[in-house]
Amino acid sequence: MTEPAIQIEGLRKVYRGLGGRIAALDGLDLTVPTGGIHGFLGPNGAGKTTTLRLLLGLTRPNSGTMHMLGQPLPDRLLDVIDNVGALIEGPLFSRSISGRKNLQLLARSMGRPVKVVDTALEQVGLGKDAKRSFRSMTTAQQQRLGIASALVKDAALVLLDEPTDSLDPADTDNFRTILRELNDRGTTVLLSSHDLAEVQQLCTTVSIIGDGKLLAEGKVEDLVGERAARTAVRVDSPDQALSLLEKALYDVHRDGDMLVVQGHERPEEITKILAQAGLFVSELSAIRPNLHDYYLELTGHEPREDPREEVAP
Amino acid sequence: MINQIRVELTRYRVRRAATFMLLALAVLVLVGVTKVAWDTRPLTAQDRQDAIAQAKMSAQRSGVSDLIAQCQQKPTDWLGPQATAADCVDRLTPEPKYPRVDLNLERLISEGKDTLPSEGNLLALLVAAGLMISAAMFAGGPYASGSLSTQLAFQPRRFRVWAAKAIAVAICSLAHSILFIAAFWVALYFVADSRGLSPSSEQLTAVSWHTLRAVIFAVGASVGAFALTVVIRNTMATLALLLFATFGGEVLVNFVPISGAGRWSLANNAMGWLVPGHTYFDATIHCAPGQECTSMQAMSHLQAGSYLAVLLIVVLALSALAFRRQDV
Repeated sequence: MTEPAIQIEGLRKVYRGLGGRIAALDGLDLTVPTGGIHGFLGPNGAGKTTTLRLLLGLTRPNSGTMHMLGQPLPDRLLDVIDNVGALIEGPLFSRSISGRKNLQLLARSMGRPVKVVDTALEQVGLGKDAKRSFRSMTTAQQQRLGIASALVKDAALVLLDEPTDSLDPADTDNFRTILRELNDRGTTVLLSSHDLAEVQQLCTTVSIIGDGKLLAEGKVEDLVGERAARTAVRVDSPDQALSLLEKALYDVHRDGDMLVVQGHERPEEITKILAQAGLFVSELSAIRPNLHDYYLELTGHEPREDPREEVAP
Repeated sequence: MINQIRVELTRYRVRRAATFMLLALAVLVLVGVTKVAWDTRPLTAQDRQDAIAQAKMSAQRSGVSDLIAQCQQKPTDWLGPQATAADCVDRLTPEPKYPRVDLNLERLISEGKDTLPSEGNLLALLVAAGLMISAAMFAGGPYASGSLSTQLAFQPRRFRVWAAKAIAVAICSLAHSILFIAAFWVALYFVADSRGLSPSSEQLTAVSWHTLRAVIFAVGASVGAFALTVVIRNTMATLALLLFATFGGEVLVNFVPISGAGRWSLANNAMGWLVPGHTYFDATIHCAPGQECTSMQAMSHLQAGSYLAVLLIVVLALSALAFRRQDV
């Protein structure tokens, strides 16, 4: 089995401030498989950014173990840092220096040829605009520059902290294309995002954290997929249909004119049972709880309870 | 390491604040040279006539002619066994007070006049202050913008980054202080030369040593400001602390109930390093009954240099340690 790109166990980070000690991470476990795009979700203050900062050695853990690209951190950070691209807490650059110069200095500081900067800037569509000082760039351009900085390295792993914030839809689409291309080339991506639809669309695996701890982790389809899905059924005699399905040991309940059956593995079985009793289905569809609902449930918020709105054809 | 130093040198140079500071220092030198040249401009015939007339009037008003007359009766009683009547006129007649003196480079590095240090020392202090502000902004900028975390995500060897930044500050401060301080003296040399007042070799030697000390002072001060900003992580807070240490520290030193506390004043040591044979008034000196002592104290270059060097080393050590451990 391939070694995970990131393996974290029992990670704890406490910040001391005037208000006392605050545990940003309280025994976090995290596994990011190699090769995919891994979503990293959690409410504000859950510890996502702290986790990424710890991985990059920008802050030091109080306890716990971290491995990145097979190397223990922070002891062997130097062995892997050249292969880890990152955009943490938004694009942070010297404000009076041009975008291109900022990236050139970063590339030179790690011994990379300056020409990789132009390639990265082209990739994010920031050719001419990169000559402007970082201060005078638009927010979207600054964000693109931040993404370009993550591409400057010959990265096997890219850590992105809410990278599509302040990007317009076109830029977001462009960014997703870049991310997929990166991933196709074998780069593992850890994507921290508040955009749950984006994570569901892009990511193969996901970790959800809250209060500095892991709440759930796994493949997206396992977390919100078929096992959690339900089937909405519309028939002319719902009460009779309900009785039939219960006799067939289905977990079913009535919801208005509809019947809601737990599971959506074999919908044809449902139509068959009802048809044999002369009840013909006028509508049958899957109700798949999406990542949004799953996330809200996990983090202590109730998702909206209106299955019709969530019905997928 | 060389690569990292080059990167930090570029970061230091390309900042807008650094450009403004260079312009400000250039203007400062220009103003300084102009002021000294104007204050020492050659006396006009009218200036001389006025001074002589003033001296004569002064002599008449204060009854000097009576004194001269008395002296001429018994010159040896007044001026010693070898004195003659002619000496009475020479030595008791008031000298004309000319409104200004000729340009003398050595005078510009001697002790302060009135409440301000002399021009050479003032320039050295202002150049050092300018470079300190520039260094503090260079160190504090990445903390303020957050770009330090981006820099460290690319180059996590923290000591290397810190050392490269410190060396970049030292190199740029060295170049800029040499440029501005030397420009000041070279310009004044040509001013003196154009007036037929070619400085003597002693004057040139004194100015050369002063320039060397001023450059070392500016480099040390700017590297120290950089190091302190890394500890405090805020440019304005660092500059406020330095201001307090410079001025508030003087007040505090005067109230410390320890005899000779003036020895530890930052300002006294800075002037002790720059000014040849620096003396200062130490209000904390307590004389035991029956003991002869004075509140005027002398500070040698070695004493002041040792104090400043130890201070710099302590700040550098603290800074390097803080940078290795701090969360960015």
